Amino acid sequence: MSEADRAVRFFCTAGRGLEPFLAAEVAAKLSAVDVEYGTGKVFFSANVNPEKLSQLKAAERLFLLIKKESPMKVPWNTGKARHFIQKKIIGEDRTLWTDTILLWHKCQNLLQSVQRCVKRKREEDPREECATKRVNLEPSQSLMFPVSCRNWSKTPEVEQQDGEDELHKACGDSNSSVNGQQMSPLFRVSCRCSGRIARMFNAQELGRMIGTAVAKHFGWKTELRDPEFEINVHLSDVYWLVGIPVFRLPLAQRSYIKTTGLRPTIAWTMAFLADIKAGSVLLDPMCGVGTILLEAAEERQDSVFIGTDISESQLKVAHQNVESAGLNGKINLIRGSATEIPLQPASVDAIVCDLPFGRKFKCKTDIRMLLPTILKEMERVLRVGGNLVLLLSPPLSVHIQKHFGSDRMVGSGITSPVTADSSSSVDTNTQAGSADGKLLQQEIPRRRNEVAHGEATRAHAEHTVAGGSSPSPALPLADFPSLQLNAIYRVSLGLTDGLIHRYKKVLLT
Amino acid sequence: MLLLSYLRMKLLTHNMLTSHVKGVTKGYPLLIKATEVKLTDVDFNSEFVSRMIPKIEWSVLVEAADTLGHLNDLPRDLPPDYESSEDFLRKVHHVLLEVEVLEGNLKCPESGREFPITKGVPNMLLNEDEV
Repeated sequence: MSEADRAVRFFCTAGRGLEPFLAAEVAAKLSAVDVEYGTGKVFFSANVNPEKLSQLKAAERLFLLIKKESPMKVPWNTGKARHFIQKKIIGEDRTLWTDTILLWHKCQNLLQSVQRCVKRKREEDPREECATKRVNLEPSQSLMFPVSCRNWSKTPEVEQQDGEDELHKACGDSNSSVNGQQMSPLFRVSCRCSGRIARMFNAQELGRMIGTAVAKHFGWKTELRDPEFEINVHLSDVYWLVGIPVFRLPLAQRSYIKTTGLRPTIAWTMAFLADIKAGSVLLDPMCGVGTILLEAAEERQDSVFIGTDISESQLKVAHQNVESAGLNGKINLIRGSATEIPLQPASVDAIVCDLPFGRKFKCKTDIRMLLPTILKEMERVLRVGGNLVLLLSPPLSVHIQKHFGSDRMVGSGITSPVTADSSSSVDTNTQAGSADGKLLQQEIPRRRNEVAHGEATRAHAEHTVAGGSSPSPALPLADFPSLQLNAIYRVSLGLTDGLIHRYKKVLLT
Repeated sequence: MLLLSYLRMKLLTHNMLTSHVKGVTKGYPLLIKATEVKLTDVDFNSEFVSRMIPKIEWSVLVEAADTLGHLNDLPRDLPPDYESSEDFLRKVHHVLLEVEVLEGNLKCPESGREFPITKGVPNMLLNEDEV
């Protein structure tokens, strides 16, 4: 069995809250097995297929897994600690490392050959898209680091987490031979630590320590500026992980988006939740620079994507984005307001929207005064059976549930109601399901087929909202009986959190 | 020289746009008045076109294409077995996605209000008094 056919262990970093979606994604796109996830990490086994791997949308970065250990108790004595860490990180099994390095080389070679194929096809017919359509393999924005060309002139994206990674300087000088193949890899160690171990050492020290040990143990050479590959060490209170990043740039950094607004991973997840079928019409009534539309259009080649925005400057950037992504044929931009959506009733199959309240919106009016109109418009243009996916700030999420909730979410799995203070999220113990949003069916408690109206709804809403934000000004309470809330997911937006609300438009009887 | 290309309004987009002026009961379909039309090349996907046909207003598409002078030999009535005719689907593809309006306006059939199309983007924003 060739190297490429064997299932290999990978792990991905993922934004908090996106792990279940990434787990579903790897299962669907890569036929991954043994999928597990915890906070911020998803582990899986799959074939080495760099093209397919580069298509993962809910991940931050992807790594070949070398080692996964439970956190260990480190001796306080610095000398002993150093020795301990080096021993544990490197471990007994040398082949674990060398095998993974070889796999990494294999990955790069595969990527290179794909790049050549794309280049050749582009030369033959510039208009024709290669089968590996959306993998951007242009040298200037290369997703990979070719083995032969040590092109590390740009440092890889540094993740903004506690315990920042630092590069170390060490020296080792002998070349080593692996499997008869002359291998003198130049490497560097990038370390990230948090929790208990971060109190003892900083990432820089750890990186240096591990780098020295690896260089010594394997006879490899460390290279700060221009290494061939990088070894990533993540030490937290949950795992001790060692891996090699498969791509130079994070997967979350999209080659096809020139200017991002919303984080592409979140945008993709929202589009995923909208459950778009072939030949659908998807609307983003406050599209901004079009991130959601771009992510949706990248994923589905067979649907129509409409974006409206009131801002001319935002639409201009959206144009550039659509243009540079080559999605002119798929994404239609219109200048219009979400309060008067210029579309016919029931003409859209799905609506996905990042409600930019509190940030840049119509400044003069109290934003929350416009909310009823906007929701009403969304309800109007959505077809029965269609999904409405909204991204809200925590206070807005509470506000919407309190004032406009036409239905309460019941059942386990998702804390209900979700307030700004609660730390609810999708149950992390759920095993990844198979493709086609099956995972979602397992996680989302199935809604009972009932419709709540007016008074009963309002009373219920007042009663069930626990704690949360202070009472808002007296706004006219509206109800949208045909919009049924069926899921709320809490996701990290970096500095703050967001809540994704998912509604389905139902037929009222 | 920097060549900027902008998105252009396709007839597929036009097929869905509606006037939202206050008091208007049926602001659809909008009448196209184009001062600048362009033909472009979009990859043909028969399944996509097939699926879109039931979603669009066929007569509106035909009318719009005719107004722009690009009806060619597209039939005014939908043939019953259109899914199987690639020739037909290609014609629909052309009219739906490859005929683009760069400049012009869209007129509300009821109120007469004109929505401008600038650099291919229809501006459907209403004024205070129209809401």
